[in-house]
Amino acid sequence: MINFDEEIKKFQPSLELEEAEDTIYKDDMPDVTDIIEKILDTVKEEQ
Amino acid sequence: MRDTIVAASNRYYNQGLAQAQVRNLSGAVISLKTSLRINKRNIKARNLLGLVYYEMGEAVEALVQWTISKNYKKEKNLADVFLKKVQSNQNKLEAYNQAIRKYNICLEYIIDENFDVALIQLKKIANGYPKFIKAQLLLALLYVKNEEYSKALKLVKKVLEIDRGNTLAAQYKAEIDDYFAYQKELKGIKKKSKEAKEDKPLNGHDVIIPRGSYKEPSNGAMNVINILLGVIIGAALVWFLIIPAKTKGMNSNENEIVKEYSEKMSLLNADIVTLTNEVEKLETEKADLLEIKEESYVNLDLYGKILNSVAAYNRNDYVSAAKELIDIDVTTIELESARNVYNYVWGKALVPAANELYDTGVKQYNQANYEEAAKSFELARKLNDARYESAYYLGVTYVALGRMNDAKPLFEFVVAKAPNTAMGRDAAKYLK
Repeated sequence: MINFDEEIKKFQPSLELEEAEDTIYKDDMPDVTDIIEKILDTVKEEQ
Repeated sequence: MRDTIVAASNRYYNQGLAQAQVRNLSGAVISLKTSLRINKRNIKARNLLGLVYYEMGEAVEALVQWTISKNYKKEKNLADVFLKKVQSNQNKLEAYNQAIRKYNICLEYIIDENFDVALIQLKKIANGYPKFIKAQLLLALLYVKNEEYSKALKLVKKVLEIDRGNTLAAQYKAEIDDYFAYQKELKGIKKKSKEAKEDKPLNGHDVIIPRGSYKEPSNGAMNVINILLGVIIGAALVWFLIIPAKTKGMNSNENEIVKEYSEKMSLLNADIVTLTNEVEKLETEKADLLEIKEESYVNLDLYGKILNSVAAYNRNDYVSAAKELIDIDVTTIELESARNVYNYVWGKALVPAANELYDTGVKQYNQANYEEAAKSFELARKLNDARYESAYYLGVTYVALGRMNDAKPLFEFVVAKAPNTAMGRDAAKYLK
């Protein structure tokens, strides 16, 4: 049967409006494109 | 290379779109987030992710995605339309925000075990915002805790109408259904035992009539005739009155049972039809996706491994990065930029990965986990066969596993490479 204590751990707080600005500014995580471009730049410098 | 990355990101976008179209919103979120991890500038994926979040009641998450989308593409962006629609009604937006804030507070109440307060608040949120999925599920969980299973089931069904791929809701529904099935079974058993006849004990209101002393004069023949008459009348009474009533009762019971099973069968049939349609839909989707995959199978699979290796290398997971690249024949990589990436990652990850695998193998060997140790040392040697320590340890692991023939060439290598070391001398002993 449903174990309340285990299930409650699956619930996380939702984003509030006051936190939106921060979240938008922090969204500069490199994606795979950024990483590959960095690698290609490094390869070019080494050549 | 860029085109490949964009193509890979678009594949996940298409997957997310297909999922959103069939209301598998949870699945769509995962696919679209993957699409953005590959290419954060995928505007379509980001806009769709915002829309899916909005539909799930996460208004602020939706705003964040659309704002970021606008930052990447200011002109002719659908995100503009969405943002204007949401921000045009500030009161509604603020109301959404309040609901989210209250939900977060309820979560804290629950962690502090203030269940009653949380329940009251969550009921208000759930009533006011039926598409706020998290709130609905949290309230359902509280109802389950209070054993109010019918109320919980109602909420969970509502969630599954909004988000058919919500695994939490599906899990709760399955468990609640099992509970109700079990209760029904118990009820059936109790009913049967209740129907058994019970002897009614005397109570204080019963009247006891003393036996009278009057006796009829006895006459043998008349007695026999009277008895016969009584039997015939009694039989007639039973035949015409009691049996029809009993039969009606039994039929009525049977009809009830038949009705119940008919209803169950109808529901099951409806489920079967729905599921059959779903399967057909999924088969079509799968066929479409396979078609897309097959057209670009060779390239995308190969470049996918290179992309994965880059992602692993970026998080310093050298073993995973090396594993992605180990089976790639570099001569099959057509794009020069992709070959450069491959060579770069391979060159940087090779030795650290081999060393890490060696360390892992030694730990496993010391824990007598010889099978896993063998795998670690084998992979370490595949990445860097120059290191004699890996060869030595793989050799002794093979000995522990009884694979003497496999161990012999490894010990010969160690003796040849490092004869004056402790491992070299030990290897020589094994060869004797």
